[in-house]
Amino acid sequence: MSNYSIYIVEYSHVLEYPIGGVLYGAHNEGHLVLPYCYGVLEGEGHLVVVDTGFDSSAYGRVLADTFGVSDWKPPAEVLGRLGFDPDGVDTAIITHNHFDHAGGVDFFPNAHVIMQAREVTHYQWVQGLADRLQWLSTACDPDLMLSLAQRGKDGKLTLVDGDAEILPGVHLTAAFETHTIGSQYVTIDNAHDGRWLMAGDNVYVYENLLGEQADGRFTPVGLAFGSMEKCMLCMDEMYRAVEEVTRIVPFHESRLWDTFPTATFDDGLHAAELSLAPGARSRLPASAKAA
Amino acid sequence: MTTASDDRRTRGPSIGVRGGLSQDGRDADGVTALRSLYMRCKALGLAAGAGLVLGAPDPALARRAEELRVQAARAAAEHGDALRQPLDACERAASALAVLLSDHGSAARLAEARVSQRALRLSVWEVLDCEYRPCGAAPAHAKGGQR
Repeated sequence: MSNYSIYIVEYSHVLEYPIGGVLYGAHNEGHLVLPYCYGVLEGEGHLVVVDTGFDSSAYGRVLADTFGVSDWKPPAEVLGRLGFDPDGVDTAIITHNHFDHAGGVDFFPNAHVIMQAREVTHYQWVQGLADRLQWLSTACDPDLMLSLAQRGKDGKLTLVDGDAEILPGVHLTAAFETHTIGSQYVTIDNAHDGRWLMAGDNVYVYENLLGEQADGRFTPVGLAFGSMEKCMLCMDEMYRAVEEVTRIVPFHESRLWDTFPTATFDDGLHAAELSLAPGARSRLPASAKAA
Repeated sequence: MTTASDDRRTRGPSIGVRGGLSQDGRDADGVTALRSLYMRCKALGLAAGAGLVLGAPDPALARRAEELRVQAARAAAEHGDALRQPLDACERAASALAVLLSDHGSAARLAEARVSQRALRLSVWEVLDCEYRPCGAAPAHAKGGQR
C-alpha cells in the first residue's frame, strides 16, 4: 500500500456565479462562489497534479471582463505557497479537456501528462461535423492538443484507454460520455487514511451528491456533453466507492475550505490539506485555520 | 459550399435579435462569416493537434486548412475594415495549421500554430462572445442570494 499527502489549491475564482451552472435545473436560485482548483499529490517519490488550471495570459482579461473570473495566480505562486515547485511535478493527470482543467499544462514542463485517449480522438470526430454542431467543442482549447503533440514527441504523454493504475495507489477510472466524452476521475488509496476520489467535473459541488434540498437525491452537474444518466451513474459509482461524501473532492466547491484544514491568502485564494502521509509535515502556513 | 448565412433555416423569426446590425454597427453577414470561420478554425486546430498526438493526422485536414485560409482571405476582402483584424487572424491561423500539417508537426511549426490560435481567439473575442464559459454558464450577473 502507498501513502500520499493530498492538497487542493485554488488558483482563481468567480465570486458571483449562478447556482444553475453547477446544479442542473437550479435556475434563478441565486449565486455562489465558484473556485477554480487543482489537486496535488505528494508521495511514493512523486509529485503529481490532478489538472493544471489555465493560463491567464491566453484569455485572462476576457474571462475576467465577461464572467468575473478573478484573482488568477500561476502555479509557481499557488504551489509555491505550499513549498512546491511546478518544475518538480513529474506527473500531470488531466481529468478532461476543458480550458480550466487542461489549459495550464505548459506550467509543468517536466511532467508526464496522462489523459484518456478518447478525450483526444473525440475531437477528430467533432471537427468533421457541421458548423451548427460546433458547440460540442466549446470549452476545449486547441492549444492543449497542440501542446500535447509536442509533449508526445518528447516522450512525456500517455493516453490511457479506460481504467488504469498509473502510480502505486493512484487509479484512473474512465467516466465516458459524462461531463465530457472522455472524462476520468482519480482514486487515491492511502494506507494511512483510506480512499480519496478527485471527481473532475463529474461533481461540481457537494449538493450534486447530497441533493439540492439535502435529501440525498443526486442532482447532476449543470453541464454535460455526454448524458445526464451517465453523469448520475458515475456519481453513484464514486459514491459507492467511499464511506464519507467528503472523500469525493469537487474542484469547484468552496466548502472545501470549511471542511479541511485550509490556508486563506491575502488575495482570497485558498489551499486545503486533505491528507498528510505518515511522517510528512504540514505544508500549510502556520496561520492556517483548522476545519 | 453552403454556409450558415446561405441556409434559410437559420433565418428564424428571432433572427432580428442577433441578426441585422450588431451592437456596434458591424454587418451581420460579416459577423456570421467570422463566427463560422472561427469555429471551423478552432475545430481544425483541435483535430490537427489530436491527429499529431495520435501520430496520424488525417491527410484531408491540411487541405481543409488551406480551404479555410482562402475563405478567410475572401471574407476579409468582402467585409471590409470593421472585421479585418479577426478575419486576417483567422487566415493566419488557418495558414499556420496548413503548414503544420504538411510539416508533420515540427516543434517550430507547433509553436507558430499555437501563437496564431491564441491571436485568433483574442481578436475574435473583440467581436464575438467568449465561448470559454465557466462550467458552461452564460455571462449573467443578475443579483441573487448567496448559498
